[in-house]
Amino acid sequence: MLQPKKVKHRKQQRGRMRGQAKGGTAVNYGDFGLMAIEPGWISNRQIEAARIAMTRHIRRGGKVWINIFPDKPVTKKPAETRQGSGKGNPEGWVAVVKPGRVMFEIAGVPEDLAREAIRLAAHKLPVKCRFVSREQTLEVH
Amino acid sequence: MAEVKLAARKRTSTGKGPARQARREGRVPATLYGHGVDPLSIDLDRRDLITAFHTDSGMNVLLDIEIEGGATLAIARELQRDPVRGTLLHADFVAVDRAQEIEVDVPLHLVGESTGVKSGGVLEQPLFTLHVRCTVADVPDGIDADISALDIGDALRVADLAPDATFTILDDPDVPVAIVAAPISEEELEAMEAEAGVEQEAPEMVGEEVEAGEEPAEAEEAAPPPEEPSEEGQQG
Repeated sequence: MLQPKKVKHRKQQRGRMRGQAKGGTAVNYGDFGLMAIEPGWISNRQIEAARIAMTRHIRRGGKVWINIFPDKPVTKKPAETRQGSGKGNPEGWVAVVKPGRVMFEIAGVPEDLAREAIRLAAHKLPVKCRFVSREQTLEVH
Repeated sequence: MAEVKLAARKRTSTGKGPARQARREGRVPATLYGHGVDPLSIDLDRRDLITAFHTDSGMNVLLDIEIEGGATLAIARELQRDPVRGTLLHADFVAVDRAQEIEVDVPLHLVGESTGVKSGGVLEQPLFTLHVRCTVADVPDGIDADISALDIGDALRVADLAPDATFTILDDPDVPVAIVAAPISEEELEAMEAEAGVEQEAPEMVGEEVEAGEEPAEAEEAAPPPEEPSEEGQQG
């Protein structure tokens, strides 16, 4: 599963997710993509589940890109623990995603297959998502 | 290269307030600069501008922008769009001269169906635009790359594209524009799925926290939660 190799600090503050994505808003590598339309934390397990859902559906054809990386540690206090006694233990890794971010890209498959693969992947994620094509993320209206 | 006439008006007030007001009125704030023109803040009708970008030339359409009687020939350099809705927020135009040489990005179209894809290969396109130098009048609408001869394992590179006297391709000649890769085997697919669930160890610490933070933090985890019962007693 995706996680950093080296980190400077074991724990991070949670931060806020205001505004829209500043970069990574276009489909750059593939033909189609999965765009987040609300902010959220995507865990490395969810990224992996989405990737597997896509690769299983497209089988041997096509290629999948993951454009997000879970570099933020999240902590959790053990169950049935009273408040206080400092911050909890690191429990996992998440990627911070803002609206407009293209999280996954897919290439080498026809649109109907890509659309279904991306629909399956979107069901693994905790944010509302949209199927986008390369042209859609570049055109203006 | 298509040429479109557009009417624009000067913007007297700047900043996000007037820009938002212009957008509410169906106009797009823009700026015009380059080739002997003083930088100028303008706005244009959104529908007209979007229609202009829907010719065969796409983003590289030559625009004849009329501002208060005078006309300036320009091309779009940058468009800012809303990342979710895709609405046009701002445009940058560069004033140009017809005989002037410019560098532009031109879309690359793959033509034909490769033999490799027919026999089960996967077509990858690492490059979707080519950076070319040409005169303003000679900007191509697109560059075609014939991939019908590509077999599995073959790549078409920038150097393999048909040369054209009207423009020079500035991209690295060794960069592939299309690759026909072999599909991954069932074993590789299974191996990829198997490695997915493997939990990894905690990442290595770098920097200050290695000396100061890591050791105590682990000790803290092992220790029982301190003073909780007494806290409970105090609160009743």
